[in-house]
Amino acid sequence: MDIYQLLRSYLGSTLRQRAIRSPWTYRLLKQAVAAQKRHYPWQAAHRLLLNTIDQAAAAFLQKGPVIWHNVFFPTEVLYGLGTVPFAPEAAAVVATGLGIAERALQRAEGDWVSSEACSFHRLAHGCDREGYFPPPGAVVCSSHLCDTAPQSLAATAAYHGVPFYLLDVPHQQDDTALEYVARQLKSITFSLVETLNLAWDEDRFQAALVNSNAARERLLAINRLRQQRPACIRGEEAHSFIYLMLAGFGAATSVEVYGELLTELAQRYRDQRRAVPEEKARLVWLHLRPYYPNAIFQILEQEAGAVVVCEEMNYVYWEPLDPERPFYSLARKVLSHHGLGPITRRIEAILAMVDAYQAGGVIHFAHWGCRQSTAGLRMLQDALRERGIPFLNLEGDCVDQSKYAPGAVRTRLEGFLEMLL
Amino acid sequence: MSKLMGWLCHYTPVEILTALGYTPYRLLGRKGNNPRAATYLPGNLCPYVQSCLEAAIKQELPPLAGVVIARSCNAMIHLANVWPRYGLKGKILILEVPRRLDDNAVFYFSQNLRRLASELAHSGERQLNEERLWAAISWWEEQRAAWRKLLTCRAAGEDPPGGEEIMDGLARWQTPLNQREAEKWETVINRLARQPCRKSARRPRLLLSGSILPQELIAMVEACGGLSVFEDSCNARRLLLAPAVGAEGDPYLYLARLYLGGPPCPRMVNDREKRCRYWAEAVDRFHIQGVIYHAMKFCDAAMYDFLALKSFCEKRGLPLLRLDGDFSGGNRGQWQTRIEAFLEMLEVR
Ligand code: SF4
Ligand code: SF4
Repeated sequence: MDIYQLLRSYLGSTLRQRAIRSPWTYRLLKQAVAAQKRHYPWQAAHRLLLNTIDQAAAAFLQKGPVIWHNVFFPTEVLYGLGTVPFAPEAAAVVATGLGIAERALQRAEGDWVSSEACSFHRLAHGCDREGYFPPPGAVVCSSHLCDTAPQSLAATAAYHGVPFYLLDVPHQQDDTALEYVARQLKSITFSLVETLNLAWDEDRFQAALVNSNAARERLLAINRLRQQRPACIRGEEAHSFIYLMLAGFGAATSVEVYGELLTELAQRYRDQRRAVPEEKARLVWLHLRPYYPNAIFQILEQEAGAVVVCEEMNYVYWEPLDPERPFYSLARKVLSHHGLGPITRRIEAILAMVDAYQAGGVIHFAHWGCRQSTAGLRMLQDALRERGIPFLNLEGDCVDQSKYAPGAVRTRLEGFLEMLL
Repeated sequence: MSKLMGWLCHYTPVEILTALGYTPYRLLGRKGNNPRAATYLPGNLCPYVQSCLEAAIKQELPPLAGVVIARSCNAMIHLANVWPRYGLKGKILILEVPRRLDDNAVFYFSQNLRRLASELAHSGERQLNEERLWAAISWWEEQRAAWRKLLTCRAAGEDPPGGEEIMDGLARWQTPLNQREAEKWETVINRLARQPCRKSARRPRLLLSGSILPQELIAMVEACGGLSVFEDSCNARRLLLAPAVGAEGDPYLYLARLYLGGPPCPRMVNDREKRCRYWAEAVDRFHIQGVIYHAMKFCDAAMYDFLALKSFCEKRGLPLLRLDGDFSGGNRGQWQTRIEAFLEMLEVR
């Protein structure tokens, strides 16, 4: 049984909102998931799911102060403070799987949230206002890359009457920018301590950075393995681990999951257990993917043997953190993002991915409303064309299933594959 | 060589350009579709930004020595990416503008301004000395004060200059073609002040709000029988910064405080409360009876700004009309019907 079927069977009744707040739901859910262990092709994915259930339980049962954050905020701060981080954009993905997206999107529309806005945030808005999300104790958000997230999260904080902290991230990477961001991180951290009445524990804070470094090391090792031919993990499978990049850095559990994935992957490379019977092409995937049932990866990987070997979102763009200088090193991490600064930085990073992973093509999933990712495509396309690398810009929506046109997607993918193979 | 220096975002301190001997020239977009810009930027990106790029590609702009692009929102960030490649030749200066107002942000912005000055001076004729910068600061303050004074008379409700004429005057003020023209700012204001007002002060008094307001919208509102008495936009009222309090000895710190501390624009998410206070003050002082919000298509900041304004208007019992616009001047038919219905509703209240 797939996880969403399971969840729906617990939450699908009229008691839905109440069920979300019942410890029984999580206990039963965990038991059910645990019992399915051997059906999971990757034990790391199984572990990730169990951890995510724990994290959801902590948030919905308010086991600690719940802090909402956007996916680019350095979560090390939140784990370091011992709070319960909650990422509404990531939770929107779960809402899609649960089949409540349509209703939530309607609610957002009814509240005048424009349909031109990113649907992750429209969906999060609807889920929150319909009572599907745990209320925040505070909201933190970084401004980098995305204009919608700060706006949407500030509106949510105002709706719940809780403090909103903006981490303003410039596009420069120089010392003045570093100082500016580091000071903000420090001030946000201690403002959270004060307003939420948290106990400041320096060791715990440093431990979050140590965890972050350990997770980074493991992810780097995983990425190095994935650079080898033939691929031993399909892109579709690897994609689920992006969650950790968006919400898990700083947590000990993320180190565990990456560790397990690394062990399994290494074993598969040793055994030469191929991801697909015949690897015909290798691809880099940019931005995210659709989270409702769709045939994209089936067409690419299973039918055509074109394996996604690298996801932009799994790219390690920062240097290790220094636990002795937490705010500076987190500021440096934030500022290192390849999406900041002139578009040439992102292009260089993508070309480096193409080389390192020996990829023959690049697909960008152009999520409707995501201006940060799509706006620079023309220059990326030019750069890839210069290198003779086939590129497909696949338009769609990550969470709004009504925007998915299976026939058109197949045609576009097949056209691209023809060029590639 | 041209001494005109282009700029877009209203967080660009024009004082620095003036002090370096440039004449600041605001890029205010163009009417019509932007097919060439659309080959470089995706269709769902801010139409104002697209239209500025289109104007550059089509060489519709006066000769500019360069352009200052502030990375104030995603659309501007991407404009900064494509401009050097597909836009105009000439100097391109990128300015980082914080989205918050506190000492840390002011200090950071002041450093960026200092850098901007030195980058501009490099190709300009003189290195910027602080005295010149202070002189430029005073010169601009003099102009803004005159504008504020002119616009304040609308608060009293007597013989107010119409919004259409004001917008036109402000547009001319922002786009002088040379320094001689720029020096004639007083003439622009005096002409407006002397102009007999043909619009009755008894018409419904409106606040128009948005990121950037198309001039033809104000003209249409007034042609339909409304009176625009407060234009809350970055090409109108928000340009008129009041002097920063706590004058600093350092002109860059002063400018940083002046601009970040001015009326917040929709991008300043952290300043939403201040923005609400700004609306409240406008509504009270200018006896506003209705509000029209121009939601620039694909402007993420405006989308959420509208939600804040909506809740503000609900609390105050103020009627609110939202009009979506693509900055092409092509929304006339649909706008007109809705504006007429809105004004009718205000009149019967
Ligand atoms: S998909 Fe794009 S617009 Fe949406 S939240 Fe992510 S970065 Fe922002
Ligand atoms: S209208 Fe909005 S998207 Fe366009 S430049 Fe202004 S803030 Fe940016």
